[in-house]
Amino acid sequence: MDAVKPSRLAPSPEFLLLLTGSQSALYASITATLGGTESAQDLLQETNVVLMEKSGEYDATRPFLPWALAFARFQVQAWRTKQSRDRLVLSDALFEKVADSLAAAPPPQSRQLDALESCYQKLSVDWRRLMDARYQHGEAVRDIAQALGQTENVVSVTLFRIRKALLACMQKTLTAEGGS
Amino acid sequence: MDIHAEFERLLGNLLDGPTDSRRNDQLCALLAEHPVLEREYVDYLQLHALLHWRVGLSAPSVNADDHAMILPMPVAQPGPVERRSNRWRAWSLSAAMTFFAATLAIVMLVGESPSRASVDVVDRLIDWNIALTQAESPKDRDRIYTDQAETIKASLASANLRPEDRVFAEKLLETGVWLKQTDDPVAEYGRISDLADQVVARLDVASQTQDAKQVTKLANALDRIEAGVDATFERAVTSNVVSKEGKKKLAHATLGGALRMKKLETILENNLDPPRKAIHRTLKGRHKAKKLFRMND
Repeated sequence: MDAVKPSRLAPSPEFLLLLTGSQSALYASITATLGGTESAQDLLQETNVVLMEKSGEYDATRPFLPWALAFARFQVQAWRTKQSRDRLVLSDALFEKVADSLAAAPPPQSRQLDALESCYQKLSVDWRRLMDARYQHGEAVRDIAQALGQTENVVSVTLFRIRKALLACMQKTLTAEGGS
Repeated sequence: MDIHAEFERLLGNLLDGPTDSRRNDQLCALLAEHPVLEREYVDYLQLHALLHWRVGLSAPSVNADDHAMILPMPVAQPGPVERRSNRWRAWSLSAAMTFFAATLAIVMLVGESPSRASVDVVDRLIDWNIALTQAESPKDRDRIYTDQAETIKASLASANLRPEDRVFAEKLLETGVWLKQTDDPVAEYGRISDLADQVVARLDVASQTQDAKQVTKLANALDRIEAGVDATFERAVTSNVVSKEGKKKLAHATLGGALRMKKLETILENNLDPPRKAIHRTLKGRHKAKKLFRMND
């Protein structure tokens, strides 16, 4: 009955709160070091399990996310060693640099998602529809282009423009929050 | 060449285009040559991740025929609690199907069905508990309880069960009685999750001792209990939990669910031949994210 060891797999509620509150930030950081979302969820889960197993080692007087990111980085590193070179987006050197920069300036956790949500709602109806098609409905650029009667290039450029606008809006929102 | 325009072109292609190692090499070369672009790269990749996260999808399609990646999602953009629920719903469809496939595979690969005489009462207790968790109202729950409680108690009293099955059956009975008296979605989620944890622990023991019949029985039981976990999870996350204690319980059960899936994967992986390993991989990809969601303080 004790195959799932409580001591290893039942961290304190405080730790679990920190962990659940860091999920999106961990996911975003893993995605950045991977160069895409493929395998990011798998690696997030791997990271969660390691973090829960290591929960006893966490020093609650220190920020949680940088500590957690170190384990995420290790998981991605281990994943990279199992992949063929052509599956890796980033070179080894670049992976290290990106992971270093994330460790130095971790994302502001759930505030990012709140800022994104707020900025998303400010997009024009057309832009929101386009982003919904891409992210919510998972449509390929080719299909979106076909549905809109536009070229794939136009759709790609527009998607990038929307992301750029979202980033600018989010940065502004987060900066304003930080200053208030 | 406009470096920044080239960077944006490559980045856009990375986010929306198919796998392309040549493009990746070009992007890496550009980033290595112009470190100032690194921050932008990280920002865009993180935004890309969060755009997925907010709608609960793993990855949008790159190819037109890749329909398997498209999950049915509500169109509305609700507040935090509803977003979590939407995320759950999207995952639950595929997760339930995958879990069913994994369970079915275990049953098919392990062998014959268990003795009905010894498991009927446990099965009935499980179904009864699941029905109680899925009741639409307290009145409905009362009715489900009253309709079956006495018969089930009598069956349990006279059943010839293995000692460990009896312990589990008693626990199920106790949970059924508790569910009748409870209207706390988070506590219910935690309680049903505990039952699932117990089954996974027993499944682990059974698989280690190569007890094929027991593995079959427990895999069947787990499949059904997970339906109860899902039902209570949905109620819990849509119940607008505001208390710190409630959040803690929810977080605990949620990550516990993730760990349970992890344990199940290990059980599958350690005991299975290649076809089962394929199922394990599918299970891994789906069940993981189902239990994870954002929780703001």
